[in-house]
Amino acid sequence: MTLDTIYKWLDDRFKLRELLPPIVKHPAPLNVVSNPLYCLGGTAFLCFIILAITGIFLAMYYKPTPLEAYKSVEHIMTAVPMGSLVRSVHSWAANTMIAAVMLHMMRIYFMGAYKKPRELNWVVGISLLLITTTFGFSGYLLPWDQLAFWATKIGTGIAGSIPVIGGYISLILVGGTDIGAETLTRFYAIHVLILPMTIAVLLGLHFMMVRIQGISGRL
Amino acid sequence: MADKIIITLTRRKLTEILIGLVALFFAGGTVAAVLKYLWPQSGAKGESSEVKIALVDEVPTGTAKKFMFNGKASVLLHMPAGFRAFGSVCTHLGCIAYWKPDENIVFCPCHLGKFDPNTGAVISGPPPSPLPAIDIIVKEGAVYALKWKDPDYVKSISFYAGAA
Repeated sequence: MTLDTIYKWLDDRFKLRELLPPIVKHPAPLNVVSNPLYCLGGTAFLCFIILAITGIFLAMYYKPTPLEAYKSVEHIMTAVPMGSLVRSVHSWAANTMIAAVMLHMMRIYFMGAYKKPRELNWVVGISLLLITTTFGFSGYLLPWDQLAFWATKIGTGIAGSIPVIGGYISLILVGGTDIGAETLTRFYAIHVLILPMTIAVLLGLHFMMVRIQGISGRL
Repeated sequence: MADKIIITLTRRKLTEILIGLVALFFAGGTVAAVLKYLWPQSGAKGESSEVKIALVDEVPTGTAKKFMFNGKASVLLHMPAGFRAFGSVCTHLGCIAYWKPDENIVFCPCHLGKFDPNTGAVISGPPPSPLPAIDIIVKEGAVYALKWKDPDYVKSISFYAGAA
């Protein structure tokens, strides 16, 4: 049984030869291929994949309760084989992703790639930037150390300073008047469930629009 | 004069509007349910809700016990003169102060704030005002927290938001 026969078996059933090439084969122009600036978005996406994988592994040991959170992170870092590697990669990929997303946005901005007909993709891109930073903010609390506590205190305080609705937003975010067990579980749910689903949908839109509209030429 | 405004309302249109209203009603119910679910349950911040802190035997003279009062970190001190309880969130920048027996003070580690364990008054360091006292009662071998001694003072400290 060779690879060819497997491909043929699938092709007979799913018309791969007909359907796959238009999806997979899309040569990019030479000025795009040869310029590393065009890799920034891809770098951000690669970081996201790494974050998703390492994040799933971290979730297997992490316990989002005030008593256990710090201890479980300590356990990951000291006792779990390769635990410190997985967590460090998660942390570094997170920082790299924010940097890549920011640089990607600057590339788009300075090359004018947001202009007609790509306005909507710019809007989706900004949403992705906001979601990425929210990822960072919510993940920052999870180790439940002093740094985490005070960063969240400040962050939710900023949310609370929005006129009129700010107080309600911070109340729902914190789950009470002070950062505690409720905040931890809320941020955990946001970090591992709500944001990943949202970013997956938006990434899908982002990539689909790029495929439909193509990469813009330089100014 | 002005043209008449003519609204034609067919039977079909009316039905559509009614169905739309019903759909809105249910959607509103769903949103309300979600918000209700996410809204923090407000604990009883009543006037004199007794909260059991500890048994008297648990806290011998010269020791302390941390507890939560109205959602704020607090500390029960057993001084030679009797039991004292204070909110232990430092009035300076909101760190948690604790009982330091070797210096006989309530101590905030962030910026070396020192408080009198008998009155909560500031002895030294940057805190601008004393720790708020909590009224306590000792009965049947246990210590209970009753209420803030001065709720208005507690309201005036930003780090005690929502506690009084």
